[in-house]
Amino acid sequence: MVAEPKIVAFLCNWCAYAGADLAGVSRIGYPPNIRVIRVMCSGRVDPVFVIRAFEMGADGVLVGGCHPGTCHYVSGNLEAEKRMANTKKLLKLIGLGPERLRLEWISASEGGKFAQVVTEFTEDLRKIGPNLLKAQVNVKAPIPYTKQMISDAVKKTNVQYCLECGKCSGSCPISKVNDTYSPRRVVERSLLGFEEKVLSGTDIWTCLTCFLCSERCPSDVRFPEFVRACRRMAPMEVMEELCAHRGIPMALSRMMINPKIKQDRMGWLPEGAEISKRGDMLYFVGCIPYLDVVFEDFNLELLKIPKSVVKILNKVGIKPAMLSNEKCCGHDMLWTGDLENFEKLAKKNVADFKKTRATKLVTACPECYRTLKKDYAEVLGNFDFEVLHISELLSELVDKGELKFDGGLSTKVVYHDPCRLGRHMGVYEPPRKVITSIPGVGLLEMARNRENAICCGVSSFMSCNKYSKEVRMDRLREAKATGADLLVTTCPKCQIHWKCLTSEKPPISPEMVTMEMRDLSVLVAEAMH
Amino acid sequence: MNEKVGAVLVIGGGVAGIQASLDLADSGFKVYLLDESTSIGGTMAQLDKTFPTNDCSMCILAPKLVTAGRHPNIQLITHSELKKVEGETGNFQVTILKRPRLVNIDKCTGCGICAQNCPVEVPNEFDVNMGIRKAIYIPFPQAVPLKYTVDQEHCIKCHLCEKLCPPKAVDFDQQPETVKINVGAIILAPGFEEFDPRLKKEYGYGRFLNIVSSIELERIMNASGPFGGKIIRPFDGKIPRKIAFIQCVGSRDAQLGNNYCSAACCMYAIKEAVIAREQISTLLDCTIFYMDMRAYGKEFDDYYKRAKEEWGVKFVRSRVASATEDPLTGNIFVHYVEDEEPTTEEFDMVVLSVGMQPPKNVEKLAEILGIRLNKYRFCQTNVFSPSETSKPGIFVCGAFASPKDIPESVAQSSGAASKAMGIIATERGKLVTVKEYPPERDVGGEEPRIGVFVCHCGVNIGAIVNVPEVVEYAKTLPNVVYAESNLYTCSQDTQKLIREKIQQHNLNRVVVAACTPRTHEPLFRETVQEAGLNPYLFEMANIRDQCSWVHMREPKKATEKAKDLVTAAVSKAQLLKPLKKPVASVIPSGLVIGGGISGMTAALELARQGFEAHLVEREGELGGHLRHIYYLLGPENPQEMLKSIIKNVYENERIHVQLNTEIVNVEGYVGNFKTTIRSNGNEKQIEHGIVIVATGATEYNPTEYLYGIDPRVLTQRELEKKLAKRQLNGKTVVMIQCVGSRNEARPNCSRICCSQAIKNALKIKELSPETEVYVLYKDIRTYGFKEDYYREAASRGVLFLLYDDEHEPKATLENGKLLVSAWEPVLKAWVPIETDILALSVAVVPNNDNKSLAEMFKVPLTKDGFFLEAHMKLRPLDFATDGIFLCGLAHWPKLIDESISQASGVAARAATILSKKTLEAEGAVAYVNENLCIGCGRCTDICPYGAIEKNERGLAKVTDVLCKGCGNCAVTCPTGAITMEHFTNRQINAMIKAVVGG
Repeated sequence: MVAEPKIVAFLCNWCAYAGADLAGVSRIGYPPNIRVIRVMCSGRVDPVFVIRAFEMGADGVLVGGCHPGTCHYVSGNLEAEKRMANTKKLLKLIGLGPERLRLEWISASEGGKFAQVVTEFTEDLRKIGPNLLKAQVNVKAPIPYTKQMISDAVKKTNVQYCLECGKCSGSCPISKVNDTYSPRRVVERSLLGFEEKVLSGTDIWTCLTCFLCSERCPSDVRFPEFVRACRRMAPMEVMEELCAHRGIPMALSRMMINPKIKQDRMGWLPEGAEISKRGDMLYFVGCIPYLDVVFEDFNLELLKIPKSVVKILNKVGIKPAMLSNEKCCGHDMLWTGDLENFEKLAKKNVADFKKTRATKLVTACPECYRTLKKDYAEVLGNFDFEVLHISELLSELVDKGELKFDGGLSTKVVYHDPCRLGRHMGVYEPPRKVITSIPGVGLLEMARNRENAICCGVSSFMSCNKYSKEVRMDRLREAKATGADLLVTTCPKCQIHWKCLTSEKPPISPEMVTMEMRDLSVLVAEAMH
Repeated sequence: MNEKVGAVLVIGGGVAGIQASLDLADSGFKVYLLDESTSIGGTMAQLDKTFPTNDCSMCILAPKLVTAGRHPNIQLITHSELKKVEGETGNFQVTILKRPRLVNIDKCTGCGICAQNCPVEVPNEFDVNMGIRKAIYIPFPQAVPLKYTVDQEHCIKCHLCEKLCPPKAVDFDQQPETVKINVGAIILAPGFEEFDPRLKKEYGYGRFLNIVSSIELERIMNASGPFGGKIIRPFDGKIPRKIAFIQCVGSRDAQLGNNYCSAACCMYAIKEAVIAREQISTLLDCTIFYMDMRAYGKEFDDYYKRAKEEWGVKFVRSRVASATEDPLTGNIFVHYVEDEEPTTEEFDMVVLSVGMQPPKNVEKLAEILGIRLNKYRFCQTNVFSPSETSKPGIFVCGAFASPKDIPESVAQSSGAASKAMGIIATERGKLVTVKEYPPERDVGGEEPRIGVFVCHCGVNIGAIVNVPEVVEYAKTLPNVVYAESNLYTCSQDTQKLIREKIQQHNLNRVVVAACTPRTHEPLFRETVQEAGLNPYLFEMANIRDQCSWVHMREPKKATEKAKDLVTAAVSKAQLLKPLKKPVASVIPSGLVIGGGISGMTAALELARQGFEAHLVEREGELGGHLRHIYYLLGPENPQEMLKSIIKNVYENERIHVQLNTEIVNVEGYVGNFKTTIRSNGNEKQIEHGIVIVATGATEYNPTEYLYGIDPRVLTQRELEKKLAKRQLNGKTVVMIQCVGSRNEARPNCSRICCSQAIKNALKIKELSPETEVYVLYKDIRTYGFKEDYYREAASRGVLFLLYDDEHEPKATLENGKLLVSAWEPVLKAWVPIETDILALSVAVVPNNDNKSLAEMFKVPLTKDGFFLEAHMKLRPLDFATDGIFLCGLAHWPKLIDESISQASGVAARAATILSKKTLEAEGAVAYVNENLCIGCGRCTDICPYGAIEKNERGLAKVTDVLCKGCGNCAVTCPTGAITMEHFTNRQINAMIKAVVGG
């Protein structure tokens, strides 16, 4: 017996909701599968509502608004149109299919139309079939903390060795701009029994987990890891309020845990690209296809990164294995304290890796790199794959003389060390070696480079606020001041965060600078042409 | 001596009457709104869509109906007749006869059981007799008041309704009631009646089924009409593939005695053709047969152009001779002449664009009120006082003053309201009811204690949804401490019960599962407030209109759905917070920018109402364009009027005039503006509560037709100056219309030029009857009663030659002679005319500094550069930003009486703000958590009301009085810094979880 589809509808108060009421007044029947949530404007419908509805098992989502030109709030419905078009792309990627989301213009006098839309949609959904993601609601359940758990976390991360020397707070880029935040204070509170305050406060979410403090700490206190452990025990409401983009990226990652999920995420692969289901080397793409849609208006062309990687690999004779149903590496989940879901994702990914017979994993994202190389092993107990960052692979090829450039580029480049590649994993020289091997490219350095590099200001889509923005702007100014034409880095997240700065709407602050950015892989692929 | 009364009687509950009532009621006056029918709404309620926005008519009207119906200062007197008016301005005694509905409106809940069971079916007048209703009925579903009425003419007195009515509201013994009320002023807004097309026998209406009137087509197209919005033709129910629209049926018809133009039919025919094509498909062929296409309003020519070019509507300039029928197919043959060839074309359906007649029994109305009618039996007014009737204290607005469209009616009705306010300004606030509520209980820190009330709504819900089961289920939900069911949760006695239960069980949140919040949320919020709770601690679940009524055959599933909806409402209720309505203080003065006729009128109206007005003018004297107008089409003397108005302005103590003054900077928001002005180098700051933009427009400076090259080529204004001095040297005068208008650069009409040209033509003929006058035109747009002057000009021998874009006139100089080559379409030849004067009817163009003024006030401009109002149909005088208003040429080209109407209108709109000590805005507004704001500006970019801006630190801040609660900013904020109160992310996520069944 097929379960009846369940439709969640968001109807705008002035038109669509009124149209639905009129259907009632006129006694026009329609199937009872629909549940309406009233909003004032279709422009209020956040894409995250749609994603959450599907995450919780809705089979279809209907958004009803005023006809264009007649929006009660002037143009909210036009915004809704853009957003729903964007959301449909996400639904296609995640494998649910864009047909499960319908945006309809229904005026207050169109009771008949409303009934017709609901009837048709219900029928369509019966044909499309149920949402297979129904089954698991993966939102993190709160974990009641115990003093023992805190004490374990303290011991595990060396917090008890803190001598209160203040080197961390003096180094922390956020502390410099936000005088209410100090890593030392968080540590003190934890040691002195104020755990409640620490766990329910915002400080543990303010930390960028950039590792600058722990890099320099003379007592080897691994503060960011302590923060990570605390986040696991923190109440969800604080995290929900502070997370940027209303949690859309995380919701998408959670959906990937579902065993029934079948994504459609390879559409970016260019014609003629050589990949395979099996191979010695697996190219792990990461969430770029989704981020490309979420940050559509930035015009970042994020998909150039995986396209460049495949092109480079093919050119050097590697036919990488790729997963058509690749799951998120789980980095954000781990760093926001959702260990349970992280484990589930990790196990699934490892099972998929094994099927490809790969022995090496290569990735172009420092977060995926760190997570696969370090955290998977730690959390799962064993992990039999060699993990390489693309810059390491390319650097090896440079050494072997196998990386050929036709011509090259004429440009001055400044390289930024992403936290997860640099301080977290110690990979500083390989990207530099690759850059300097390109003919015509001059490499400039910022004063704060390698172990002293400053974070782009956001990690795991948390801690985005005016303080981290200052840190970010400062870093961009620093890059620009070197006189370079291009800012090159190997992290797509850093690029997203800097591009966000330059997409602000006027009046734009006079301290804002813009700088052209390029991902390392894209730079190399361009030069290889 | 009679004392003045602070109340106004508005006769007619159409859109004009409603607007006037709302303006008055919101400014502290009591309003009696009288209508003959059982519901307010008028003709606009019958329309499908409105031009030029193609808005659904009921969608934009219904909220106004509800507001008027619920307003504490408006008393609706429907199904009633005006009997007698005695007294004088300031104090009228009015006798009204309330005809019996045979239904007690205090008891009737509008549930509809009576109509469902009434055995008598009657043609439905609202559907122009194309559909049916019962003998006990409401005219349309959104009727206000939503109370049933017995049609005594057709009722067979079976008393079934009386037996079935649960609250026992049907009362066959109800008698007519005579009421006497005292008012200080009367506003007439009785609207119009459609011309009866049977009087044009050559069109066969009434004989041939497939010929319908325009109002019938509106009902056919309307989704709530007799055919559910399917456009089918009456003969056989087939979908028409070819429709003809015949214009000017009953208008511009001297034979019938209706020489005037009905001013709206050209536009509504285009609209109907466009909408019909939208509904049927592009396979539908529409042809409009017209004489002149009068698309003179704001962006109407754009609409006309799109209809032609984008939407494929055909236009044939020919007045249809007759229409006959093919009796077998029902198709209609339309006979007309094109290019001198008599032609017959076959259509599936013909629509007659019927004109506007004065309302039924207008003579009786005029007699009762003691007002004069004009020759067409519409109300007599004059150019400089367009809303005044011949009797002091009685004002007029809408179609009864002269045929007009909806935006003009709405603007004029605000104008009439202002005039009424001016008479009884001293009585403001005396007769209004201010409701007192008990002090609000502070529920902070309390665990939610939710009470759930599930309504049976008679049998409407209870017969389908298992209400007792829902009640029991509700009790199991977290934080629900009390649940019960009611027969009618909205009845007066249940309100009392709810208040008692709130006290008894110490409830701090209330959920009602019943009908729709769109009609009943305000009622329950009030009940909750009367019990001492903040009104935002209330939520509704719609288990009737969106559940029981639409799942009548699936009672089990409907019950499950009702439970889900109750769970969602309860989940939201758990997270509801008390909200305060933001309050702003109000400085009781206005800044009027522009000292022309509009600005001066607005200032005078504000002053008459008791408010201070600062009138700033850029030039060294007041008067604007009126200084250059010496005579009008009618008998009024503009220069005398100008002198007298200027005198009034200077003599008025409340008006402060600043000449040679520019606006430098504006800060603040509604109720609290601070504007810096500069006069002669000195800067000064003015604090005021509202702004009126009356900055006017400019005359286009032509380069066409040898203007500037030959001194004989003049603009109409220059010609007028000469004619006023009786300096006419010439045997021939040629006038060219649309110079600088209706072209690529400026596609729209400048509206005044046709009247202006005819005015000058008539003057020329007065001074020198032998002088030949030629007017070269594209369309003559002398709409309304101005059509008489067109006819007059023709009778005096003025020759009108039609040209089109392919045959534009040419002006050349040959041996010192000024030659104009004009195209004659009937002869199909170029006619050379040697002329002594060539007068160019040049465009009215927006001022150069509109852009900088718009930026200063953060108000938008249209693509043509005029200012853009909040809503082209129903809010022509308001900007979307609260507290700023617009009138006169700055809005769009218009004539003097229209400017004066709008200028009076803005004073009424301003009074709704200035009359209050404090302004209360909607409580469900957005707010910014500064800790999360990154100052990216996306929210400030997206808010259409300017309600969110960057503060000194570059972070977003919401001005809560301006926020309308749409929530777009919250979605657009990348960090989630913005919370949309009452529709927060947490609340909505909780509702999603509740309905998907987590």
